[in-house]
Amino acid sequence: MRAFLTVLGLLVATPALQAEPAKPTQQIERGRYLVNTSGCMDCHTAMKPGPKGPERDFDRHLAGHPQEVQLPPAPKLPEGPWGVTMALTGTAYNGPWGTSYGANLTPDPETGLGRWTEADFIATFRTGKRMGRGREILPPMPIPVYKNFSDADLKAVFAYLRTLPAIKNKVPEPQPPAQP
Amino acid sequence: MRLLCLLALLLPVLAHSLPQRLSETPLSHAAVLPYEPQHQLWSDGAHKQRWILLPPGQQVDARDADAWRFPRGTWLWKQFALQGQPVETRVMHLNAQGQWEYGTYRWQGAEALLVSPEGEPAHRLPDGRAYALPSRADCLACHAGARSPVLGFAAVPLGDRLPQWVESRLLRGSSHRPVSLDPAQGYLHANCAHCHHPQGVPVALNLFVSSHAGATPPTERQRAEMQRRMRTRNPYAQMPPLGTRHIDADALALLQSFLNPPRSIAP
Repeated sequence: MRAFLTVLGLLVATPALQAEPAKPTQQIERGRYLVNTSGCMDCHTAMKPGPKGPERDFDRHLAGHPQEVQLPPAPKLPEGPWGVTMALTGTAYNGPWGTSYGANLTPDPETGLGRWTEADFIATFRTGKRMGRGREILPPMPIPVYKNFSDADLKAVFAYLRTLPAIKNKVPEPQPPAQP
Repeated sequence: MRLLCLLALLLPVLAHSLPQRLSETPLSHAAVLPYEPQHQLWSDGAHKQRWILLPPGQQVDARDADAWRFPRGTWLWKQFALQGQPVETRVMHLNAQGQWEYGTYRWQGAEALLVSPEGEPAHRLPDGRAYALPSRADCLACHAGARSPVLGFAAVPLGDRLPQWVESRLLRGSSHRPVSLDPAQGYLHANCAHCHHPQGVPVALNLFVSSHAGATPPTERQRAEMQRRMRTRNPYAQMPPLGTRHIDADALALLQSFLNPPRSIAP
């Protein structure tokens, strides 16, 4: 009898011991919708060779420019209206501002946004500076467009990003324009 | 606290309520007092003068040595001069609603006029040199996220000048003992700690010297990173990220032994 009750108790307790994944909230779903419709992965999820040609590397979704992809200096373009080049990963751009890389938006604490607060995230969009007080956010990040997101939508984006797997990927620092 | 400070960055850039002319601020009031911190912010070699005006009969609440609180009506001015000529005078004013107002005044001849909230990043001095006049957002970038928005008139930066302020009876609740600091620590507190404090930027580097908890020594890896960023004026990597376009060579010499401590040799 004692053994039976013990086993019964374990059977009842086990589901409680196994943490259920957090149920998606309305805010997270709103954030997922915004991220999937605002072009974030264009620069923050790298392209890789696939069986049918280049494809997004969803194993490192929104983790930014792959740290192992070291690029040579961007080609120098002749004077004229064509002034920007893009690496084939889709995560590195060169233009009059220098060279910039898509950031790691996953919640990794060392290489991503893991230590950021919601306020840091919102301040970045409102001011065009990292966390509202660091260096400038560089093109092609369309701050002039995304700064028009409402606070609620920016909070939703941040909430969704927190649900992503944390991926350790140290994106290179941007470089200023090459000196003539 | 950090959320409240950062939320200040989200306030729309409103039209200034500061007066249009520096002469219309109470800088010439009889109760204005000059002050000079022992540990100062590097501003590319500009000569700086600072003043404070407290409302009559009011004191600074200095009970928390890490975060002084100022009475409504406080004014602070900081004038930047190059080669003996004033270039700008920055102003902070704690208004009647308890909000800090920030602005800077550009000198033109005998008068200084309020710069627009967007600043003048491409301003040129008479000799043609570039000089960036800060925007309101630039002001907030350093001041809004600090332990107290007033960075220079504080216990640690005042250093060995603190006792005179305690004796002036303008500080309520302050310890009479100045925080004694190694000059290197004082420099890092004055130049970095408004962002790099425990409630500051989400980077695991604390350069704030706390009267309660002392200082946190950076790791070897952090020291190397500090050196790298202090030795460059690449705008994407430099530290501080704004307010300076030239390396502080004297500081790097001062910090040489702090940033490159001798390795202990294990027996």
